[in-house]
Amino acid sequence: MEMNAIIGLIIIAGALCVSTLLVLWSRRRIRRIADRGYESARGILRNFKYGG
Amino acid sequence: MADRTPVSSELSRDLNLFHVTMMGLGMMIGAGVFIGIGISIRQTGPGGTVLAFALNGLIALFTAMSFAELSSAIPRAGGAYNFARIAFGRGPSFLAGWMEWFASSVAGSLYAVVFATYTLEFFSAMGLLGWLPVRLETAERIVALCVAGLFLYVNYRGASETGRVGAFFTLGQTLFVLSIAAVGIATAIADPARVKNFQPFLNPDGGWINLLATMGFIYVAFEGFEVIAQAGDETIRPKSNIPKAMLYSVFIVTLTYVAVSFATVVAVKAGAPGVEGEPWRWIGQFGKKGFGKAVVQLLPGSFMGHLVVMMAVIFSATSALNATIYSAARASYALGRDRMLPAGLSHISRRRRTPWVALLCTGIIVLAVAGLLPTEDVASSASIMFLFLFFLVNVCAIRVRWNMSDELSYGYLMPLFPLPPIIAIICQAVLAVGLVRISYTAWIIAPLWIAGGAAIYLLYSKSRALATADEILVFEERQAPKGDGYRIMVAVANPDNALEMVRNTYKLCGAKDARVELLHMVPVPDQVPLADAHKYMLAGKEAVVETMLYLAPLFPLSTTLRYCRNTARGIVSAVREKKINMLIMGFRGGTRSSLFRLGSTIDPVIERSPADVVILKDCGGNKVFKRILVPVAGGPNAALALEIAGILADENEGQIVAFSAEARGRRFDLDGFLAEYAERTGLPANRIQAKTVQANNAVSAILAESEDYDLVVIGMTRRSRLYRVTHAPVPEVVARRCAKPLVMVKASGGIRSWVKRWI
Repeated sequence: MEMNAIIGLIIIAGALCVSTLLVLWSRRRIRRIADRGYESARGILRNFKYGG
Repeated sequence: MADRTPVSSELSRDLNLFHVTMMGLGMMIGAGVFIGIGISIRQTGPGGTVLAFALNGLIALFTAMSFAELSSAIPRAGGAYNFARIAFGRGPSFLAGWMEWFASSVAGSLYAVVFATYTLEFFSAMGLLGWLPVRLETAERIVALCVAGLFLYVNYRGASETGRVGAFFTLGQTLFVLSIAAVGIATAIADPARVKNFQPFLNPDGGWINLLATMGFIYVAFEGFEVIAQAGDETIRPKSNIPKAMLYSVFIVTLTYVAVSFATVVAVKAGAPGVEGEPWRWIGQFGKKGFGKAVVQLLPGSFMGHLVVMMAVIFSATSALNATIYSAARASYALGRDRMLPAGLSHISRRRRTPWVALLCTGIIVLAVAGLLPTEDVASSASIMFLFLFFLVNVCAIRVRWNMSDELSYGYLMPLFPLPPIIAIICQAVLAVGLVRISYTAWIIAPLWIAGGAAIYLLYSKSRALATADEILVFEERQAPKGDGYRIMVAVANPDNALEMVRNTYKLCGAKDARVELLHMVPVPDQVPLADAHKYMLAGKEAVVETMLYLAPLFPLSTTLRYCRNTARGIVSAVREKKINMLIMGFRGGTRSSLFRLGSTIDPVIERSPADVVILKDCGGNKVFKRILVPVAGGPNAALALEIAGILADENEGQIVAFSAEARGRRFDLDGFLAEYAERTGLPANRIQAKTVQANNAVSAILAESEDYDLVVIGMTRRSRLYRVTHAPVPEVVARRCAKPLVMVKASGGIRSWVKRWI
């Protein structure tokens, strides 16, 4: 297999994996924020930091 | 004296996560992918195409995260225009609106061109275009102009397919495209030799550099998710659902594009009849038609292949064309409304209630670009403008988080901030520069448009723009009024209709000891933000006030004006939210459209309302109902009809005749039915009679019998939509043709097709 194909396949797999992870991570954040109530960015980050 | 509440106005939030996700998908799976794949394969090779879609998907996801965070904090229609106004003030906000207007208009031109290209390709492949007196390219231009003109007119008329119907169209087109991908992948598994089509992975003439240019070119295929931000006013739980919908739609579309581009490359078998040279070069030589040429090879039979491709393109391109035109008109309307451009742009047609000047100006751009520019320049111009727009939104996301994180209430915070917007900004800048290799014209048009916008702002808009305070107003969601008990909602359409319903509403409310909710829906065309709906409110306020004059002193009453895109959906969502037990509506006696039995509002309300529905036709004035005919064929709707007849009947002399028209050989136990339900009427037994006749035609029998009565009360059919479309049910035909005052009723629970019941 040519080198371009190997690099290309790795990039495609990486891009799709990163996309999946970001969507799942974001989904989890949206659910946690909705559960605890909407508030300022600072308040949300403080909650995340202390395990809220 | 009962409590009295002032008229309140609220937005009809009736779009859920599924609807808004489908809205984004419908805009994205438009034409970019169909026209982009062939050109992309030519530019960057077979593997480079798949790679370009995967990487573009990731960059679009970073931008979607910025949009999602901003939309969750500012969940009001307006999108980039609103974000820029809050982050930077008027100047950048004007530029965002200005770019959005052009980008959406040019995207509309692209969809019109794609529609024309693939439709004529189908007829050409079938040998039906031999008679054409002009070249195929000229014919494509003419068809593109015609279809763009048609959809401009459709937008002027105010027709729309957003919401539920649009969502199912989009689901259909997404499944259509996914099925092409599935067939391609199955073909590759069955014939692994086709994977060799990916050799060489990249086009040897250009390599990785061409990949960047191609990514910029096909970036337009990822435009569309930003439209979701426009639905902030109409979405249920917008702080959660808008961000989710944006991220899901970009993710789904990325997977779809990767799969479809893979399928396109493996669709062509090396050495097959008609295929000369390497398959990827063969696909690439067709350019914008490459996708269609390849997919036809996947499907059995030339005609079937061409037909499937044409259908997929027609569905996708037309829905995206319609949506981009109203999106562009809405952007220019907003600029006019805020006096950033001449106020004439926000002028609304009295007859059609749509912003015709904004549509006209949008139409000029759409038609000029579709008629004058080559396809690749059209796609590149749209791409580059969206790259600039998204660049600005990413900058806004960083600035708003850094400067306003304490003032705004967020429903979503992107992970790894500020990396995603910074990466997106860098990548978008690189892609925009790379586009020079594909279209110089785009690099001339886009900066000229932006520079022109900046000049207009400095010379005209800066001194005239309205205050920002109006712009960041966020509508509150109003809760349903507190308190238990029976609730009746009266949907009033206009002052005449309101007065007509008052008397009977009074009787029904009295019998049920009910709390009354007056509702007037204010339909707002898609081109106008819901926040501007007050322009359409006058007639509704008048109607509600007329009704209040009669009912407010007698019953607990609250009144609501609701802004909505679709009246029927708005009414059903209001019934659900306010936990209504009975809905009362008026019926003028006919519909102009053959698509509906009773009307475009009444049909869907009857079908989907979770409450009892009572529809009054010609029951106004001081009519006294002494003799009431209740046609009966069994079921809960007939039982409710008896009950309503009992309530509306004259207290002293009212008589009810339960009437059954039986076809030969069929027998309905009318006496048994009355024995079970007669007491629901509340009338003594001697005032309720049963009458059965033998008749081949139930409608004629009921209409003939109704001549001797003051009122007909009839239960609706509980059959499915399919049955009603094919059979013309008796109650609906009677309702349309009956000359006497008439009441139609449907018991709560909705009419559900066997498919819905089964699911």
